[in-house]
Amino acid sequence: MKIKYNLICLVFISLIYTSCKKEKLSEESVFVDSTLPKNALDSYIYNNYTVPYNIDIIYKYVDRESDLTYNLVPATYDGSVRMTKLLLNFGLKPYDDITGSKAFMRAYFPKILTYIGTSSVKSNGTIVLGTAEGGKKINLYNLNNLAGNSTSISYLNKYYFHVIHHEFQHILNQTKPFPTSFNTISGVGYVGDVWNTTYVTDGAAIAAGFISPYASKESTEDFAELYSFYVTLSASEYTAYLNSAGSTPAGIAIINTKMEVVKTYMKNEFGIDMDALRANIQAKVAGLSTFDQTTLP
Amino acid sequence: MKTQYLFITVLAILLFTGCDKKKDRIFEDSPAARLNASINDAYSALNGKKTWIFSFYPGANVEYGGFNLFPNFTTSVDVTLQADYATTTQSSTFKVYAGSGPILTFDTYNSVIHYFSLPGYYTGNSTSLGIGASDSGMKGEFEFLVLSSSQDSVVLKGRKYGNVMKMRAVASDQLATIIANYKTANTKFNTYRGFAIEVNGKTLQGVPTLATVNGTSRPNRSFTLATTPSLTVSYIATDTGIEFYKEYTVEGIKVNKLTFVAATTQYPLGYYANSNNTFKMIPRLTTTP
Repeated sequence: MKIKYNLICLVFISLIYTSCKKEKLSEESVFVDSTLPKNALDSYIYNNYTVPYNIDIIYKYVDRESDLTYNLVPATYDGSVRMTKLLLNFGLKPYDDITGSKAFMRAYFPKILTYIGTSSVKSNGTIVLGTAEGGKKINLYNLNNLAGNSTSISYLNKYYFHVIHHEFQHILNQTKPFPTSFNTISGVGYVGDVWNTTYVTDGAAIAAGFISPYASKESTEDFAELYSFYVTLSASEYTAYLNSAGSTPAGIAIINTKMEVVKTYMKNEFGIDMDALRANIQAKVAGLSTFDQTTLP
Repeated sequence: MKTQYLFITVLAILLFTGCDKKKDRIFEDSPAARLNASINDAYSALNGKKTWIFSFYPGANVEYGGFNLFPNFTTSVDVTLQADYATTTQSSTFKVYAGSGPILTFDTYNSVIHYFSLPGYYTGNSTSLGIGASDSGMKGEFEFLVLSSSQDSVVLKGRKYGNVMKMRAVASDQLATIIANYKTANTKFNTYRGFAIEVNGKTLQGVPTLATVNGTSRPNRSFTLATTPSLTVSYIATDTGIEFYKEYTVEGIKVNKLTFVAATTQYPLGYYANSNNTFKMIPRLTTTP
């Protein structure tokens, strides 16, 4: 009886296990690769960003890559071409020159750049200049106004290069943390989210030892702002900026102390001499007015 | 002994119910294959006739009425746009991609269509405020879910605000004439400041508000009628008359399309009527009768 029972059980169980055959999966992927023809800018991006730096530029509007909080429009093709050429020459190349190869930017620079035609306009009428997400992506806005302003380095710095160097510095910090001693220089002076109401002018922020109002938000922003201001401004512009109306020698002294930490960090951790980088950028900026922004090979 | 029977019974039940065959698909192909097929359908429709009349309705509540855009899908990526409200012809790009269905997007800037998506911050100038709210503007869309596509018509639904809009294919060689006719109609409608609507023995007044679009002060193609309850209608000026955003019922009469009837002494500007003349829209150049 027992044997018969066990036998029946065995048969049933083996039937249960063998009968449920797996379904064959289709060999075709549900994701179809785009077969859209490439234009001159697509090829330029592929050859000058994707292959050497592993960077992709999303210049055509993709809503899930944009900020859905705002009403945004795509960038113009012309603006995209200009930005792509400007960024390569004035943003990426200086680092290549200083480090001697493309490896540094390939390793650290954000992997995705998106272009948007307008700025993000908040409901109170103020605008957002640029944003970055998690060290992987930088969004560049207001490209549709680029054509009329693209030979003004102060405009380009304000809207683009400042943002790019700032966000890039965050990524470097995430890879190799800056010395914690930096945090103690301004210590409890960081004001968090009320930075824009605490210091309304550059001069007031400088007097308090912050290079910009935004730098007073927290130490990581302070660090990135210091770096970004230093490398995008020429020596004389930088000095003039530090002496903006309302600044004080005591505040400038604090900024200089912090800047030493930033410089030492960049030199020791990444082998980048910020003065050499600044000189390289300034040499390139001198040729901005004659730089060809629109011709693609 | 009893438990043994019970155990065998359970096993038997498992055996018979466990291996239920995979449910039959309602559609033969996989969802991904069908989505890809519908994208290809949309492409072949857009690139088939190439030239279209696009009844474009910006606004969360179609409060500005419609604008006629004239897209020409010249290649699988390039599109040229003209419109009844603008004098420019601009080229840019488009794409149909997979989302919750095939999605048509105009993905590089083209002022003809993206003007409506600009925040009010950008459409104003030193002397006048931009149209719409400073952060959202006219709330025009440039990404559309393709609800249906054929060689002659494409039905689109805006992704943010859900306005349903139609594109109608036209012969390429007639496009220039058609655009000229639409522009004439548009200019005429820009002069109208009010309408008397004769329907079912009653006369209602329709007075559109003005808005500055692309530098031109223009009555919105929309007004509210003092029916009970009140009814706001939106429409678009066409070469033959008026097309409403959707079918409206006014005083018991259903209307979706009106044809222009030429001027007479009684109607110096002419009027717009439905096919059996039960609904008349009589334009005037003043807001008050």
